[in-house]
Amino acid sequence: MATFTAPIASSNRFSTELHVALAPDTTFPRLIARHSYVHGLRALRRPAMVLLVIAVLAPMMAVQRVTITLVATAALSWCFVLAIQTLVAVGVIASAPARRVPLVPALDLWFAGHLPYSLWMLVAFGVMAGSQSGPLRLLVTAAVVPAVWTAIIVASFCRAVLGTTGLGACWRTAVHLIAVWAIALSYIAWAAGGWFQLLPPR
Amino acid sequence: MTRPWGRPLAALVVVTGIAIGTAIDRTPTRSMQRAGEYFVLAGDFHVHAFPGDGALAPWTLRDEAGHAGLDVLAVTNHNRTFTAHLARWLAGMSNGPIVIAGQEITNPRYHLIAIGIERTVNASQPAAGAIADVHAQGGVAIAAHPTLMFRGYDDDATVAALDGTEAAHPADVPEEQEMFAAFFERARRLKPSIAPIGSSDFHASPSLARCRTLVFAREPSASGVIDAIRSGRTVAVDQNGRQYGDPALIGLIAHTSPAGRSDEQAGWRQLSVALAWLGLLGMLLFA
Repeated sequence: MATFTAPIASSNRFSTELHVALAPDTTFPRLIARHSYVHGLRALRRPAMVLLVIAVLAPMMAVQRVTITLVATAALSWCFVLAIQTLVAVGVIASAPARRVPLVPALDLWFAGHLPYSLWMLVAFGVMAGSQSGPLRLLVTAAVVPAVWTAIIVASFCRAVLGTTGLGACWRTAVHLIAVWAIALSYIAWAAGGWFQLLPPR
Repeated sequence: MTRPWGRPLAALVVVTGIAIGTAIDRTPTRSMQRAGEYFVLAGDFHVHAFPGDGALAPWTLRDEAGHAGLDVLAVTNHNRTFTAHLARWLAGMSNGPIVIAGQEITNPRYHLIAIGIERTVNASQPAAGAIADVHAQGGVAIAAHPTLMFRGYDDDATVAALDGTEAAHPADVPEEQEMFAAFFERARRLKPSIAPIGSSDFHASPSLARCRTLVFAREPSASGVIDAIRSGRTVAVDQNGRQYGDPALIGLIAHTSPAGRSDEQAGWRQLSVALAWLGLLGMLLFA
């Protein structure tokens, strides 16, 4: 089982997140053994990476500047996004009785699948920062790409890490997708003054 | 086995970008501008903040207002005033732009900016009722981005009850800006003292104060600003620098161009942003 216990592609220069994004079905099984020993604070590194992406990009998009104060305050403001993602992930992971790793390593592996949304944010925020009239509708529409990409990764995660059947992976992926988008749209509707704001003008 | 160096190097690039951005960050100091008997204050009265649908928290927003050359801003989240009151409370703890609490009263038939209010205005009533509620609280009511899709302003009596209208607002297409200007002309016929307002409707982008209002206030305070809007002593400035309002007021500032956004270290700022962005990309892709 040397393949399972050796650090993944130790000679490879590319990140685990990239491997997961491009080949989740082969990468997750190879990661399981190594990540089964990830506990405590070490398990925070991937969520911290997601928070760093949000915290740097939010001021970059909004004020076209990045300072330590802006990054710190953006991280404080938007850490609730990670909290929601974690809660949804815990719900999905805890619902699988046959999972192959404990909860914390499973969460670590879950967050290894963040690349599609992180790349989308990077591209979207970069475009917004470089444009006076950001093509907001186009960028929001383009969010379907990371949504579908992430669904593929989550399904693979469920099969490899949670030990579910193909059907179990499907419904967990659907629950995840619905939960994330329902929460996101509810927040947007709340912040925008009502659900009618999300509908096209009549 | 060599330790991967891609991500540490990329992290260093991010840190360098943030360090440069921090080192060059100076909030410009503003001196209050006078024109005749008035203080001329640059304002943005349609700004969204976090928590809400704005990207920036109130404490960050106020700092950014300083960068944008604003003397006054109103935080106007949709149908809520909590964030606006938080912003006003924080503003009281330091020097900087005046912050006025407000609300974007958001109804399918109209959007209405209320500033100088204490309580959240019910958004499920007709525009005339919302305007009356704003006035009852001592605030001023401003038609927000009044395009033809907002039928709540079809009634002339409602328009005549407004204190101001967004004559300048960031427009995706030129026709939109023409609609704002046309609505202002209609409102001015119905109520000659109506205040032209320029606002950015800032959420996350485009820039804060991209369109702005020059307020001719008798005193540089929130009440002075609200009094000036109520009396129609404003000039709206659109994203192209075009001014809307009383020619006499425009004449007062003809030779004293009010300060806009200052960006003295644009090259370093852009380098800082580029490094942070590239560093993040590297951290995502490399081990």
